[in-house]
Amino acid sequence: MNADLQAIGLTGLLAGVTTLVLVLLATPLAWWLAISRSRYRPIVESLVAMPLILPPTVLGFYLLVFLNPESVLGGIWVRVTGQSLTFSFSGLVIASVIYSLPFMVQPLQGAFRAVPISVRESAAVLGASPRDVFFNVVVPLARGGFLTGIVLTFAHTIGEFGVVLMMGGNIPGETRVLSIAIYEHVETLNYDAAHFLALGLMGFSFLSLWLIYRVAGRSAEVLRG
Amino acid sequence: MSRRLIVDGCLSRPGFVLEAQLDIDLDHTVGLQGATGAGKTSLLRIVAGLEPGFTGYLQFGAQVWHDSAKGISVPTHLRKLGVVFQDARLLPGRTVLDNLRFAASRSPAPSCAEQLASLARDFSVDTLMGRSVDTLSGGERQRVSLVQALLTQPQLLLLDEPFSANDGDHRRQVATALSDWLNKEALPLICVSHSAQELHLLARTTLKMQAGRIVQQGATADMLRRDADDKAFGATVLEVDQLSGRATFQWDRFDPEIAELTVGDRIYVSQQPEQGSPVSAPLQPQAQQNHRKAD
Repeated sequence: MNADLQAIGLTGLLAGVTTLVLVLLATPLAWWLAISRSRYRPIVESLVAMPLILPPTVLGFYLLVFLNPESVLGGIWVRVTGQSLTFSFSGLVIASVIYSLPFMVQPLQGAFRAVPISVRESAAVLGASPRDVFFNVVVPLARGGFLTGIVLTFAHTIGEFGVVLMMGGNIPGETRVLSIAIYEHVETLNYDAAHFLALGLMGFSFLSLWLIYRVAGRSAEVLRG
Repeated sequence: MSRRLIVDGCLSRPGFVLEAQLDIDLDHTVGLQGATGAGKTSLLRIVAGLEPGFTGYLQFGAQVWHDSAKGISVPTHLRKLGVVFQDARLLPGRTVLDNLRFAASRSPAPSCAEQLASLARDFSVDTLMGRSVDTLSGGERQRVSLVQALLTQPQLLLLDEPFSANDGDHRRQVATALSDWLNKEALPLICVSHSAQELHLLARTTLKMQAGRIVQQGATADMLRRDADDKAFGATVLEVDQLSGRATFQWDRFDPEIAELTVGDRIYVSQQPEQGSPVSAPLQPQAQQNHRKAD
């Protein structure tokens, strides 16, 4: 039971850190995707959406290949921090950020795109700089997109399994997240403990989606495609 | 301070080319006239820096706003403009007061609450303050947008059909309030309008645009007179009822942009109508008619 509580806590921490990192990372990216007319945009859009389609094991496999201590990137990380990126919490954060990227970028991109260019123009003629327009006009109008992105990213990270299994393993307090704990309970035929965690996840997923559809209302259109 | 506006360049979009050659002193307010699609709005947008496709040269006073050859383009928010678009864009999801405050707090010398209140009174938006802009009528939106533009203390005012959604009395009242403000502040203005009356009230000089070019320029009164002569309507008399003095016409030339006539309206022609004969009469700009009534 204590181990399960630890898994719940670790999962919450991972989802929280991932969501925070993604808000900071995805906001400028989504803004660029929303307004850019660059011919590279479809390429970037495709890359961002890849985790939606790829099996998490593929993603996890490549992350393992590129981030392990013998690789270039992983080697630099070890030299700077003295820690390995694979089979560690920091590695899981990186993996989750990539894995959940489209869940943050797409709602934001949709919400930004829904702000008409005419609104930005009228703010500009009133003397608002592009930064002023973004933070004081666009962001308030896109708050539904932010809510959707945050809840989806958080919930999606909570349910992460394949990527973690591939590059995180099952280290209690470091990489043993909820889904891994459930998997282990089932493997050891401990169905009661599995039920406890699985039902909790079901309830949490439902509540997250209900919150989005209820509060974000129209901006949750992105979820319906 | 010089208020010379120089525009020399072009803007091309699929199916539309605007070749702007303009050198005008904005010490006199300027009206912009022309048929739909002549390029009036595009010209204003070029001056406002909202047309990224514009190539050429643009200067206002001593400031070079755009010079493609030197790669200069001053961004819109640094041009200190007041702009009222035809569709009176406001910041959605906010109240009228929030919209006005947004403008006031971004003016070079933040204007005080008193000025905001007095401008709001002048353009009768003081009663709308607490309402969300999304619930306003077209005319109300235009007036809020105008107050917003004036609150930024612009060095140049660009108006695109700023009263078109206001009707009759309101329209005259708002135009008069604006005209008073312009006289008080000596603010340079370019105003697009279809209404002869508004051009009379607001613009000393009028430019006429046609197919993406400025084709005529002159004192507003002269321009409107010429315009009226060009567009004099013509008709053929179909039937005359001598007893009631009523005649039925068939229009040969008629421009709905400068006149509105419905069945039963009274018009004056210079000759006795006879069946089968053509008649014509230059239309007086409405403003002149009104002046005459007032005299």
